[in-house]
Amino acid sequence: MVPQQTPRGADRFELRLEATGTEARTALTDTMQRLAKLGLPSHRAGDIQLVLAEALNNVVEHAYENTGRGAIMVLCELGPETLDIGIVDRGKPLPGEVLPAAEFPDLAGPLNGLPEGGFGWCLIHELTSYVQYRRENETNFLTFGFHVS
Amino acid sequence: MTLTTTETDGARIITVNADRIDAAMAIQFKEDMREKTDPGPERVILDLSSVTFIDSSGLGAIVAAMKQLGDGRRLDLAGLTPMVEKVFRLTRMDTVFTLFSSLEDAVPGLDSGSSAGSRH
Repeated sequence: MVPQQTPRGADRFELRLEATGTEARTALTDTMQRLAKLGLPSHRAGDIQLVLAEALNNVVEHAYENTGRGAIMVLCELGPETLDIGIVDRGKPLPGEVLPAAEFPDLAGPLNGLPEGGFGWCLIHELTSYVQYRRENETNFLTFGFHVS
Repeated sequence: MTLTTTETDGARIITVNADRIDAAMAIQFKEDMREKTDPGPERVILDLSSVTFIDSSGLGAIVAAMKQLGDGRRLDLAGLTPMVEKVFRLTRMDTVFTLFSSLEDAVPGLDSGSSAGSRH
């Protein structure tokens, strides 16, 4: 797809994928390549790839419950200072239809009790400048942004 | 994904021959780690120098690999690239694992050439 110029001078593109781990990985690498071509500074790529991975994994594993079925759309808008990303899916809502908390799991206690999950949302909150979620018409809309300059 | 093991005095080095440990491969990674470490020496060193991307599922798989080693054994991590090191730092998992900037730091005296030990 040819990126469109928006009135604000930002580059936009979107991509669609099925809710599988391998499609999520492909979408992730495609998105990062497109952003790099559009001039995303390379020192910001690590954080952005991680947040996008966590958000997509959440849709695959929880919204679509690892069924391997379900459509996901990713929208990116890269401006001179900011990158905004939207993820749209028609899977299950987030619990209580609200964003999960940003608290990192407690690592105290014996090694065999260490958490193996629960880090995804904390990383999303930690590495973005904002995160928003809304549920409308049985559809999940997750939006988050980064400073990129 | 492929894991390569190298035996040295007192430790088994497991090298990850992949550039990412992510959700799509986390379960396989955990299973492969079990196969490469059970049975095995007390100390296992995971060489992550080829890994440029890890997500929280990959992190969880490394934690699981450490837990499945069992009592009295340890999993050390070596050769973390900047992105991987950042994920360990943000989640504070850098306080749980011993991190070495390179394999040579993790195993003093290790010849980084071919004569370090037997490969499997």
